[in-house]
Amino acid sequence: MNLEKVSGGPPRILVVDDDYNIKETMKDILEEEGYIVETADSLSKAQEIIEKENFNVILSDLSLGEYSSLSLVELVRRKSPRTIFILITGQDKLDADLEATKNDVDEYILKPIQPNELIHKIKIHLEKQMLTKKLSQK
Amino acid sequence: MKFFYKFLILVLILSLTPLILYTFILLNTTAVTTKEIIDENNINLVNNIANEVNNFFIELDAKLNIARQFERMGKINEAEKIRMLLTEFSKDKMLYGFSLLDKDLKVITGLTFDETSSDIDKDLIEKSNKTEKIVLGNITQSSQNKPYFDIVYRIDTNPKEYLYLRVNIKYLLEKIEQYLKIKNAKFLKNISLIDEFGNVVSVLDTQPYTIDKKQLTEYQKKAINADFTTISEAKKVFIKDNRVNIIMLSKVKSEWLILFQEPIYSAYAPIFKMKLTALMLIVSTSIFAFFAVFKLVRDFTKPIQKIISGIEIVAEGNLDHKISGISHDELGKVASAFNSMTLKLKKLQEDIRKSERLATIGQMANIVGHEIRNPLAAISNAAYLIKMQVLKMTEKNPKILRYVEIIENEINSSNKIINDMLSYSRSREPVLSKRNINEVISNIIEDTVIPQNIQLQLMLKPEIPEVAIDVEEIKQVIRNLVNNAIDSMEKKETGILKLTTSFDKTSNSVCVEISDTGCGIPPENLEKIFEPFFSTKSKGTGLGLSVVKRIIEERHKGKIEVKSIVGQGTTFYVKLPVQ
Repeated sequence: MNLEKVSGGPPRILVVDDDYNIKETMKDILEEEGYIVETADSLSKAQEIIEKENFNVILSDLSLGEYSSLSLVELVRRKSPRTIFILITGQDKLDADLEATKNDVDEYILKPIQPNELIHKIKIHLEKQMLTKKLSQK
Repeated sequence: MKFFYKFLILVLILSLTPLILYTFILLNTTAVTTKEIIDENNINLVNNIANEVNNFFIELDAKLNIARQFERMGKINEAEKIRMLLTEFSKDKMLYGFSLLDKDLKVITGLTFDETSSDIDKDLIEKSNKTEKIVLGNITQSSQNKPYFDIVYRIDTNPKEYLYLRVNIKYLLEKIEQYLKIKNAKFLKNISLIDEFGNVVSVLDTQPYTIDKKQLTEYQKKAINADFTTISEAKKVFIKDNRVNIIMLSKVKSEWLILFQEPIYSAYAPIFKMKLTALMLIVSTSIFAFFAVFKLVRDFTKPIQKIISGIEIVAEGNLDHKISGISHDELGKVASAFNSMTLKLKKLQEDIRKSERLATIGQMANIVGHEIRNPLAAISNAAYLIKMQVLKMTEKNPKILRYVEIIENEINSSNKIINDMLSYSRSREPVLSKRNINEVISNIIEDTVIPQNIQLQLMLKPEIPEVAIDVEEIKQVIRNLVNNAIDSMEKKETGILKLTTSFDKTSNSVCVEISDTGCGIPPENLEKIFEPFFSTKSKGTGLGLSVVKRIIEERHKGKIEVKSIVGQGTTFYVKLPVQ
């Protein structure tokens, strides 16, 4: 499926991670796949970018330094409900808070992440997103 | 004061007081009775002796009949008188001698059986002239320890004559002695005879002496009193100079006093003996009781002491100490209860230490795991990018691809180790949701790469009840067990991996069986496989199965069991409660 046809350009992905190397390699991996990738290394920066721009997918680590990225979920849902929110989390962090937000998150991926797996999941979600968009346009 | 001494004194008082009291009461009543009996016996004795004295005087009086005969017959020639006298008195044991005197006190005839006593008491004859027909002289001692007294009979013939008798008192004393000797082997009883002038002669010491007038009067009074029947028998007995005294009057033909004397210790010897026996009984019983009670109390308090010192030792932290050597009574139970408590305490302490150590390891693992996981993720991403770049190259270098694969594999096993460590140290509560176990298993199998040599058999029971599980954790369990099964069949040409689900009505639980036909686990290892850090694999932390056990048994209240035969295979049984 040609992504550009639907979205009027390659899908935009925001990668939020406070680890520079993960963030950068993730960006490269996703760009390899043909996506437009923005990055943010803190909660405030991510909020700032989300306020300004729209994304098809937001890929965020659960813990951003001393903050949790769960607050981003609310912001994203308010601003663009169709944006796919993928949360990356350590198994041990799967607590009650996360459980409560689980329904608002499209996908959560347990660490360690296999790049293949990630790419596969993003693809599936984007396809779904396009289908819903098509349906709503009709 | 120590408990020991308190107890000792208490038991001693309790055991000895009744004994002492009882002994004293018994002794008092018995002593009074015994004293009465002794006194009565002595009084009877003195009575008998008094009778003997009376008889003596009666006998003596009978001897005077010859004088009376002379009086009646009037004139008898002297030769006849002498013949009669000799016939009457010769060899008479009662007499030392006799004389017939004329009015001028010249001896008509006489015989002295004992040469020492031939003198005549003229005052006595004079006395007979003035007063009675018969007069008794003083008790006198001769030089040869032969006491005597004289009797004068005034023969009222014309002219007057006098029968003069010297009486052997020793004869009487010897008779009295027989009374005294009969009863007591130890001869301490003494009888003194006192004449009306205060002259005394005694059985034990025949040497006569004189008692003063005052004493004599007192004795006489007592003797008269004692004869009144209204006065109780005991009153006849009086104590003087540490001696028991009984006084009696000889009433026939004389007014001699009979004085009984015996030292108190001898007279009342039975009472003293009884008191001494009682005292000895008390003393010996006390000593015996003391030692018995001492031993008893020590035996009783010794285990208490042992228990106390045992408790002190344990309180200082020595949990290896055991209280031993205590009998099988209640205290023994206390000791064994204490010992088992100590044992439990020790086990608890060990458990705490172990869990503290594990908790520390867990905390460390947690920190290390998180810190390493991020760099690993970056490396994994970078490796992926390298692979992508290599694949894009027109001239592909298979070696580089191979190296990248090695990096990826090693990252995977590192991630696995980190996951095990983090799972083991996990502290969050499980997030439970109701799931169908068959679906969970199917999901895992979809994601699992099964090697070519292994045949998979799924025997999932349809319509199985849902169980409340933490999906991620149960997935981890099944994945772990499945991977172990695959690993065990690595070197076999063919193998069967079988997953079975069932529902056990009796325990109301869902059962998952994961069995392989791999190498199996030796029995000596079978117990250890669930212990943390136990591993026979070259790679791995040895935490896999301990995490599995912890997830099933601690976090899901289920049960995990294993059966294995070396060379044939292994089966794990997981039971998860439906509610």
